[in-house]
Amino acid sequence: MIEFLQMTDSKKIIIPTLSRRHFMGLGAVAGGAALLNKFDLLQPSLKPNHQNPKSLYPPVDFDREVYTMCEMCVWRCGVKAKVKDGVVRKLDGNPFHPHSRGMLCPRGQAGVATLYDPDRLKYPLIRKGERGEGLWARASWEDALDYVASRMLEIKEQYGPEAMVFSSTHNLIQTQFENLLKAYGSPNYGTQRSLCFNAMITANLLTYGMEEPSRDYSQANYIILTGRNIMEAISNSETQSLVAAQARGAKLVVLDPRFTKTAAKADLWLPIKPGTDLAFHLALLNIIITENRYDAEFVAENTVGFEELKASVAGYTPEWAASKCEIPADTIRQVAREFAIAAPNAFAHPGWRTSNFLNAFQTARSIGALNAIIGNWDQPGGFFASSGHDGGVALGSVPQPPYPRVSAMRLDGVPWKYPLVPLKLGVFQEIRDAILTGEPYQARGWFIFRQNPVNSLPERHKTMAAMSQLDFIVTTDISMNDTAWFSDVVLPEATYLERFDPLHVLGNTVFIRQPVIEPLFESKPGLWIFKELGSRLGLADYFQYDDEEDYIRQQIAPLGITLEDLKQRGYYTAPTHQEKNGHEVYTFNTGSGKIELASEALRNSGFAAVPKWDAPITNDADQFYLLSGKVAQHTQFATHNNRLLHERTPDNPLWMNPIPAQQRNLQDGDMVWVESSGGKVKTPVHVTEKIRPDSVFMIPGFGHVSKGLTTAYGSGVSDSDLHVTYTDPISGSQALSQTTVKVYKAEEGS
Amino acid sequence: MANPSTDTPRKKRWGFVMESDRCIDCQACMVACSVENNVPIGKHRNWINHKESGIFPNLNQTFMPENCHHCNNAPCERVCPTGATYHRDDGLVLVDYDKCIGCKYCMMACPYDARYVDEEKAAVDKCTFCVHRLDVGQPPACVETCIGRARHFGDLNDPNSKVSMLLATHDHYQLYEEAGTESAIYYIRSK
Amino acid sequence: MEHDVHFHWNMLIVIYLFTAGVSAGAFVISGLATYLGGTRYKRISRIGALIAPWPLMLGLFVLIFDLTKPFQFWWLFLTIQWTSPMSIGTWLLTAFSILSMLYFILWIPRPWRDLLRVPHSTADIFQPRQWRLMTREMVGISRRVIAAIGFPIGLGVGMYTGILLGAIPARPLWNTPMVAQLFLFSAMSSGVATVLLIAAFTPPKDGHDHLLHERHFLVTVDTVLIVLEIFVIIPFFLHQSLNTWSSAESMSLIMGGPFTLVFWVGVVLVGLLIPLAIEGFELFPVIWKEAAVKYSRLWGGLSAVMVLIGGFLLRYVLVYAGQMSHFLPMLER
Repeated sequence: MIEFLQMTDSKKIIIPTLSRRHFMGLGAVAGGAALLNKFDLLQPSLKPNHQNPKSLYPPVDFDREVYTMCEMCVWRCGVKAKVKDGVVRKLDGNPFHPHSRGMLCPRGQAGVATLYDPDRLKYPLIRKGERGEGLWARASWEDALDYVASRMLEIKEQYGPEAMVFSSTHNLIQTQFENLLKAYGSPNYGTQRSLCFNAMITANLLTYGMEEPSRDYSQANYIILTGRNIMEAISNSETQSLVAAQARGAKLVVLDPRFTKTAAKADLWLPIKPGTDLAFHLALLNIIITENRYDAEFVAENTVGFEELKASVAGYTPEWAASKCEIPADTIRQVAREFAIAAPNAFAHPGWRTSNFLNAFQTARSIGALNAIIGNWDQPGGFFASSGHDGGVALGSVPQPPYPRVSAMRLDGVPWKYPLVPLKLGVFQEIRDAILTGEPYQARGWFIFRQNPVNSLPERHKTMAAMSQLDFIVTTDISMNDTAWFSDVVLPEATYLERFDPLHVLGNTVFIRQPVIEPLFESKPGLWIFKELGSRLGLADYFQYDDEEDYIRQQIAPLGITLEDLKQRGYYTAPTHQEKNGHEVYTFNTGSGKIELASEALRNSGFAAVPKWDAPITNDADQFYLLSGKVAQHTQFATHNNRLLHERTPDNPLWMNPIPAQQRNLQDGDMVWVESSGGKVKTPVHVTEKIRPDSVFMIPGFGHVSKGLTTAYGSGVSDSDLHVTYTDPISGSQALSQTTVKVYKAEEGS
Repeated sequence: MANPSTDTPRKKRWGFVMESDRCIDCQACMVACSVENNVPIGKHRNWINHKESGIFPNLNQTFMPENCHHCNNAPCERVCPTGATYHRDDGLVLVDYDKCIGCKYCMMACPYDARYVDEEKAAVDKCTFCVHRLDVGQPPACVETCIGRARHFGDLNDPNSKVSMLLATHDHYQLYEEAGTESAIYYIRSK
Repeated sequence: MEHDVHFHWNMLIVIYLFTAGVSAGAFVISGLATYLGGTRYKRISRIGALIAPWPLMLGLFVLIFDLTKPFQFWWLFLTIQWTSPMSIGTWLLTAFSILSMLYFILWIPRPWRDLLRVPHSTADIFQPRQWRLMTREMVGISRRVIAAIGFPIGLGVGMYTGILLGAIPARPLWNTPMVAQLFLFSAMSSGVATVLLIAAFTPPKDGHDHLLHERHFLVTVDTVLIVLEIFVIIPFFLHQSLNTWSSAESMSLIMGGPFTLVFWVGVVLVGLLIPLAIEGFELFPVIWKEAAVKYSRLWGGLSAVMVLIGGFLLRYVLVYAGQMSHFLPMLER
C-alpha cells in the first residue's frame, strides 16, 4: 500500500476547510449565499434595506476560546485562539501574558496560515528517489518509526552513538529532544546558538555570570542599541516597551550601518562602519572613565578589574574611534556624556545577534563593561537579573535513569578546540565541517528536529555536501523545509496550535501550550514522537509518561493545581516565596562573584582579560560588506511559506546605496550577481539611501530550494549561498557579516 | 432627575487617531485584518504609508497607518448608482454586498484608494471598522493587535473618549482635507 | 506601501465611453440634418438614425461584463441616486436607447418600414387589428418630434460620458468641467465621422451634386467640432497646469509621462490636427472662391477614420491616466 507522491503535487491534497482563495474560506453557508446571489434575479426590495447586511461578516460568537502560546518565533507570546465550527478563525494576543499583553505581531497574527498551510506535511514520508528528487512514499507512523529506529540502532552498533548527530532550534520541547540524544548517547548536538548569540551570551557569562541581563525600559531615559533592531526583529513585549519608553521621552541612539525601522524611530542614528561597534564602545568607556563620569562607588563594590580596564581603554580616544567607525568624535563624546548623565537610568543594550564580525565578542564585553561602570545594575531603567532569580516555580520532573557516559569528543570542538564556549551553546557550523572532513571521526547519521540547516548554515554547498556524506538523515517538521527535502525520512509534527509542549516558566508563572484543535492529517506532537521513538530505541525508561497530558501532569504535580485549571486559564501564578527587599545584594555567578571587567577565565585561556580593540576585516574598494538583518514579517527560515506573511514580504532584493549603484550603472530593480568567495546569487537590486555606500543588505531566510514549499519556493535568494564560514575562537560565533561580496550587473540571459 | 445628556442619546461618531510616532510598520494590523475579515490574498483593507525623505546619512522616515476613513461626506457613497454604499447612524460607511453590482465607480471616487473588489463576494469591499466586533463591544482587530499602540479607536463625539482627549491635547491633521471628505481618521503630528 | 496603481476600469469602459459618444453624435447629426436640410440631407438623417442605437448597445453589452455581478445590471433601474452621475446616466442612456430605437424604426427604408402598423385614432389603440401603415405626414412629424426630444438627450449622453469621470474629485486629471465639454464635442465629432465614413462608401443614387452638398454639411460641422475640441484642450491644459499641485502633477502623465506619446500623437495629431487639415483642404474651394467642396473618397474616409481613432484614444488616455492621477501624498505639515 505504498503510494508514490511527487511532493510538487501535494497542493492537490487540500483539506475541506481550505478554500483556494484563502485558508479559511467563508464557510459553507456564506459561500453558498454568495453563489446563490450571483444568479438570484430577485432583488430583495426596491428601497435600500440595510437592516441585515451582515450575512457576509465574520463571526463574533465563537464555539470556544483557547489560551495557548505562540510559536511563530521563539518569544512565546500568550495567544487566545478563537474557534468556530472546528476551524481556528483568529488568534488574539492573550492580555494576561507578559510577552504579548494582548497584542500579537504580524507573525503571531498569521499563525492560522501556518496551521492551514496546504503545504503542510500530512503523513510520514520515506524517500524513494534520489535525495532531493522529491519522490516519497507515504508510510504509517509504525513503519516510519520502526525504520528510523532500526537505522539509528544500526549506526549506534556499527559506529557508536557519537556517529549520530542531532540538531534542533530553541523551543519548548528541546529538553525532550536533548533527553532523546543524551539517552541515545551522542555528544553531538547542534543548535542555532552559534549562528545567533554565542558572542553576546559568552561575553555576558564571563562578565555578569548570566546569559543576558534584562533591561528595564519602563524607567530608562537613555537607550543605546547595537546589533538590536527591535522594531523589526520584534520581541513583542520588548518592542512594545521600547515604543512606550520613547513615547515617554526616553532618548534612543541606534548604531546600524543601515537605516532600519529602529533607526527611523531613533533620536540619533549613527550609520556606523560595519565591524567597528567595538571602537565606538571602547571610546565611550574611555570618555566616561577619563571624564570621571562613572559610578565609582558601584564599581568599587561590585566589579573587579576596573584599573585594568582603565589602562586598556586609555588609548581609545573619540578621535581614534572616529577614524575607525566613521562617526564624528564630537558625536561619540556627546553620546558618552548624555549616557553618563542619564545614568543610572540608562542602558546600552547587550545586543542580540551581534555576532556579525569576529570581534563581536569584544564588542559584547565592552557593552557589558559600559553598563557596569555607570552603575545601572538593579537600578530603575537599568539592567537587572533575568526572571527566575527571585523565586520562580519549581516544576515536577519526569523520572528517568541517568544518561550513559559519553567518552567521544564533540564534533563541534567544544571544549577541546573552543575552551570558552559554553557546552550548551556549541559551535554548529563546526559539526557540519567535521562531517565533511571526517575528523576527528566520521559521523553517519543526522536527526534534525524543527531546524533548517540547509538554509541557515553559511556556505550552503558545504552543508549539502556534508549531508550527501551521511548514511541516514531524518527530519521532523511541520512542512517540507529545505533540509527535510534532502532527508531520508520526514516525520510530520503537529503545529503549535495542535499540541501540548512542556510548560513554560516565566518568573513565578507557568504557561501552557495546548491544542486548539486536534492535529490535522496524521501529524503528531513532539512529545509523542520522542516517546515512541525512544521506546523503539530501547530507551523507554527515559520517557516515562503515558501521553502529553500525563507529561504535564507530572510537571505540575508539586504546584497543587489540576491540568484542567491550567488549560482553562492558560497560566498559573504561584505565590511568591521570596519578598524582594531593596537592599538585597545580588551575587553574580562569575569566578569572583562580581561583575568581571577583567576576566580571569579569559586570561587563563590565553585571551585578553579586558575589552580591547580587535580590528575587523576591511573590504576592498569594489567589495561590499554583506549585511543581514530581520524584518518584522518573517522568522528566520520558517515563515516564508506562510501565505499571509509571504503576501507582506515576498522576496529579498539586495539593498544598495545610490552612489555605488550609479557607479555600476544599476537602476532600482535591475538584476545583479552578488558574489562572495563562498558562492554567488542573482537577485534584483533595491537602490536606496537607507544603507551605507560600503555595504549591501539582504533579508535572510529566502531562497528556499525545497519544492515542497510551493509559496516560498523560487522567491528571493539565500544569503547562506554567500556567507563564508568564519568562527570566533573565543565564543564559537559565526561572523555573519564578515563576508564581503562584489556586485555586478547580470546581463540578459546570464 | 435625569441628566439631560442621557435623555437623548448622543450620536456616536467612530473614528481613528493615529500616532505616527508609535507606528513601527510591523504590519500586524494588516495581517490581523486579513485574518479577521477573510480578506483575499493580494487585497488589503488597511495599509501603512511610508513618508521618506533625505539623503544618506540624513534620513527621515515616518509611518502612517491608514484604512477607510469612513468619511462624513463620503465620495464613494455619493457616486454609488445602486445605493449599496450607505451610512450608518454611528458614522460607519458600509457596503451592502447584496446591492453592490460591482461597477467600481466608488473605487474611482475614493481619494484614499481604500476599496477593492472581492471576487468571491462579487462586490466591492473595504474596511468596516470591524463593525461586527464593534457591535458586540470589541475594538477593530487592527487596533487590538497594534503592538506600538499607534492606532487609537473610539467615539469622536464623546469628549471623554481616548481619541477625543488625544485630539484635544495634540496637534493633528487629516489626509486630503481639501477633498472635503470629513474623514474620521486623525493623525497626531510627529515630534 | 505607497499607493499602487491598479486599473480598476479597463478597456471595456473605454469602449463603452467611445461607443456611447458615437451613438449620441450620430443621433444628433441626424436630427440636425433633418432640421437644417430637410430632404436635401435626407441621406445623412437616415444614416445617422440607422447607426444611432447600435454602438451604444454594443458598449452597454460590453460594460455589463465589467460588473462583478453582470446578471444584476438591471438593479440600476430599481433606483435613482440623485448624487450619482452613473445612476442619472443610466436613466439618460435608457431614454436615449428608447428614443434612438424609435427613431431608427422611423428611418427604416421601405419596404421594411411597411411592416410597421400604427393606430390612426385613439379609438384604435386597443384594437391592433385596426392599425394601418403610417402616412407620409405621420412619419415626417414623428421623425421631427423625436429628433427634437432627442437633441438634449443625445447631447446629454455625449456630455454624460465626460461627467462620469469629471464628477470625481479624487482624480485630479478628471476633475474639471472641461472633460465633459471635451467628451461632448469629441462624441459629436465621432458621430459625424461615422456618418461621413458610411456616406462616403454608400454613394447616393442621384449623383455627384448631392454628394457634395451633404459632404459640405458634414465636413463643416466636423470642422467646427474639431476646432471646439482644440479650444477646450488648450484651456484644459492651462487650467490644470496652473491649478493645485495635484492637478498640475496629473498633467505630467500626458506631459512627459506614460501617456505623452499616445496623447500628443494619437489624440492631438492623428485625431484632431490631421483631420482638421484634410477637412480644411476639402473646404478650401468653398472659402476661397465659393466653389463646391473638394471631394475625395480616400481623403474623406481617411480623415473620418482618424477622427474615430482620435476619439477612442482620447477616452483611453483619460480613463487610464485618470486612474493614475491622485491627490499627492501629504507633505510634512
